[in-house]
Amino acid sequence: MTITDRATLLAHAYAIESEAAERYEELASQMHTSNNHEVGDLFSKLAEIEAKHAAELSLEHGAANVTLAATDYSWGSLESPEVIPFGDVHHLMSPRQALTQALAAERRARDFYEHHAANIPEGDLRTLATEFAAEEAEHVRMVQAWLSRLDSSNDEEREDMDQPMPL
Amino acid sequence: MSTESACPLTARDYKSELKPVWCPGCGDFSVLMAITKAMADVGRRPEEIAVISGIGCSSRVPAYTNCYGFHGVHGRALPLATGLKLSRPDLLVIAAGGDGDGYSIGGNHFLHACRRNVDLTYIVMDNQVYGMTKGQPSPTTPPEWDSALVPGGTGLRPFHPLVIALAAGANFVARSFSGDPANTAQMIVEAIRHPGFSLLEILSPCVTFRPEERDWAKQVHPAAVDETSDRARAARRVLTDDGFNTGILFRGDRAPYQPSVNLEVVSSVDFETEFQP
Amino acid sequence: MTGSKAQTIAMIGSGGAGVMTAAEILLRVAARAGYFGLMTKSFGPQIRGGEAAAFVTLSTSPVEIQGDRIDLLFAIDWNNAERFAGELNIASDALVISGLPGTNPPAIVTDHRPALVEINLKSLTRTHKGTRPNMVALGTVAGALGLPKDVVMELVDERLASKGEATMSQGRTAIGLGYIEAEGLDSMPLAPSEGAAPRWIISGNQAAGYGAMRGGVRFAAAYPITPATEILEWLAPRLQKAGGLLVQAEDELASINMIIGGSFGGAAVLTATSGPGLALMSESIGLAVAAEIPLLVIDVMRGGPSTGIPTKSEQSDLNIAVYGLHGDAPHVVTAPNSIADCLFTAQWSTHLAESMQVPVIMLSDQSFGQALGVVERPAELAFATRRLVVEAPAENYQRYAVTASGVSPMAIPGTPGGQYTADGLEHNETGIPSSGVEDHNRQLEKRLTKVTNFDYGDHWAQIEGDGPAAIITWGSTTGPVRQAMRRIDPHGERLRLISLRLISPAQPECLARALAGCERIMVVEQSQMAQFFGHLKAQFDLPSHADLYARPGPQPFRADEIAAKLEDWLS
Repeated sequence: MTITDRATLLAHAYAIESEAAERYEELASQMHTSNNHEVGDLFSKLAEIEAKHAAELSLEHGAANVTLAATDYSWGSLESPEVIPFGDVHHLMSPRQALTQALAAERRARDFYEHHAANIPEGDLRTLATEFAAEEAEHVRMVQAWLSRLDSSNDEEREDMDQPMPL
Repeated sequence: MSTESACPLTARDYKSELKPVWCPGCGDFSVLMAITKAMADVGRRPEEIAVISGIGCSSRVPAYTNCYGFHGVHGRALPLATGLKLSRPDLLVIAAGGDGDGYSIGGNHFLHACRRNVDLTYIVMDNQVYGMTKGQPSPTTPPEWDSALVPGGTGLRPFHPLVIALAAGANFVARSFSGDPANTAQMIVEAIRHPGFSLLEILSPCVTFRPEERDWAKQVHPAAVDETSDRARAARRVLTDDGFNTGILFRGDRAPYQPSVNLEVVSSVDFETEFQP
Repeated sequence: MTGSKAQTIAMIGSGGAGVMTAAEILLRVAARAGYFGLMTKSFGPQIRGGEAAAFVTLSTSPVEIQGDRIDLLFAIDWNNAERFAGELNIASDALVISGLPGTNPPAIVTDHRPALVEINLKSLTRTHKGTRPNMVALGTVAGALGLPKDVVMELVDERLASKGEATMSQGRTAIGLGYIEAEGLDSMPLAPSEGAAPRWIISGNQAAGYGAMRGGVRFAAAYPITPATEILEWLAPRLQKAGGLLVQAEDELASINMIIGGSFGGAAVLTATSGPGLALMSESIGLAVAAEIPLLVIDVMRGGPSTGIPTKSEQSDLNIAVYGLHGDAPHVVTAPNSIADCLFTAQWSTHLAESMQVPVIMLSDQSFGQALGVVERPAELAFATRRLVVEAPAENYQRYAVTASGVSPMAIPGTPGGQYTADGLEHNETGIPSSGVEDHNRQLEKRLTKVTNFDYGDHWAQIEGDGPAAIITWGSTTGPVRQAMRRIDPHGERLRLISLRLISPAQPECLARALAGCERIMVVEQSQMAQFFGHLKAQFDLPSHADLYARPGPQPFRADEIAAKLEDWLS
């Protein structure tokens, strides 16, 4: 599907950012529940960034007011591109593993905008899509920078030293 | 497996002297006759056979045979039979009962007995009504059937035991009619001989609460096509037939669930070393 | 070297820190070094990564319950440690070690003003690659207690053997680091142990499973339920080894009926469950009463009603076990009174079931079931367990023939001429359904006679001391009561303990004899509605002046609580 109008592009952009924010919050809560506070805090920080991004979209473009029927979003998959799938986390995941997942999510978002920008004829709409792609590319660089600053002594494979608890 | 006896046993050797409580005209009389005839054909001695049931008119059947029997609680014939067969694989174990016992209160056990595929034969005398409690709708009763407990009918889709048995993994599925005891006996023999969990659904009219079921005699007809070992084909056929198609509908090749057991307690088993610190 | 006769250690941590594993190794080390011990667990509601607390009491003499206060606490972290309020009763002279410097213990710890020491587990384990914080903590605790390092190393090697030499070596390094850290601490050594008589390390659930197997159980069917599942998981592979079988049933209705089928076929059988499962089984236990089928049903009690508190103990299934069957349904209810007694009582219960052809419900509970104890090796028992069966039935064999004992010979399927139909319907002596007055009366009488006239011997209760003030209790409350009595009446002059092992059928004459010369009586139990007290009043002619101390779970009884109560009562 190609995006041909501004409202549809904004609806997609808002969904990408707000769903990512929501997912990061949910994952942060899961990590805190399992006492992995380090990764929980990381996900909270990412949730904040995505929420801020969604709010900006809304403020600048009124994007929050545009919604589509669930089936009209052209993700080509079940979920919007910038969310980390629920199945890809683990209660003992390291910050590096978490950021690697986040990096992949940002890349998926960037690729989404780039793909659509390439299919939109020259004009305002294409400019907007390209702008969004650039923002995501900026996020990709940000997460890469975080990754490179990570303390590698914390990377060893973690294992749960106890059996799961019977409840 | 079967113990050869000097003089061949007849159906009479498998029948007890106890007089059934059933109403004259009840289909279950013919089923009892077919069961004892099938036992004679199979040739296992009465003491090597156990007939297990729950509660209901047809569940009275164990005491009417001369075999070991267990008339347990409502709906639990299949787990009881399962426990007996697993601990005593040498016995021939037959579970029997009605549609309410097997498909309603015992419905969960029915599903899991099909899945588990223990070498049991399950004979269901389906009269589409609760007879012992005097005429309430069962899972197989047609939706519009009027009764004191459910005035105007249940409005519910009848339970389809055969297709559910197929989906759940039963290894042998057949339908017969009590009014045709010769074929019913033959199907019981086939069900017993086939390894794994065999379901034989016998249409057995209740002349007291469902007198219209006397007409079943005119409605039943032998299956137009041969039995199959293709589960999907069998399921499609029983889903689309008129419910009066009799015969062996499915014969599968799943291996029965029978872990090896030897319950003789020869000596105290010693696991002491594992408790040493 | 002198030292304490007993120490209670708590290790807490979260996120898979491994405190349970460390504490279990600690208990084994102590056992090998000749100490007695007990380990219990507590954890948050998460299946993974949750807060976990392991409590280990070590002593030079047998331990039945956790010590009143914690003498040594090692926190790998303090995440949600306040969840363990009520369980972390820190002694004022306790040593508290925090493995995560910069984080603060919760008020429930600091309120007691213990000595607080910090050990930087993170930096230690980073410096020494592959070492685990929980193993360093184990080394520290074992070192502080003066436990032999070589025994710790030996156990860590055994535990890590399957993971290869590198991991084993890292494990040893971690233990060594812990011992070095311990050198800087105020040591709190245990007094030397008194030698190494044969000991077992066993949980109540394992003991119950093994006891039943020793009693001859070879067939089991069950549905998983906390806190009984460990009985099943212990039994499944071992039954298989012994030629038997455990089947996982689709629900408790199925499991009870499967074992009825197996027992009808001649096997000694069991199922294990907890309150909710017992409720589901009760109709069919009644069937086994009517059809006279021997069964062992183990109920590992947990907090109720309904789903209640699955991981905590309570003595509140007494009523359903004794009175929960419909109709007049005589059966037997037993209860072990210690972890080791789970073995005895399960074996005895199997013996009772088989001898009387009756269902026996054994009431264990979570505090036994899921606790790991170092106990003296239980004695070998040989009950003359024999089901009365008929080998060559006479012409007119009657399965339910009325006999003097009430027990009639049972024909096992396969026996020629013994064919009968077991029935939940009332029946005559032959087994044929009958609603006649006489048949009902005769069969009711027969079934009651066989359980009331049976000779239960001395096993009906455990009696200690002969003071004029008697404490009557049962099950897991026995341990704390016994400990409290030792404390306030060390020579057994003032108090007398009567712990009932046979809950039903009631033995009022036995109790009266045991109470002879008693001036005062106190009943102690863990049930809000005082089910045991009510049962004693209704069935045991409990004197009307008997006092009661009853409260619900989930908080386990501690010796100090009971001792204070008893002192107050005696004064």
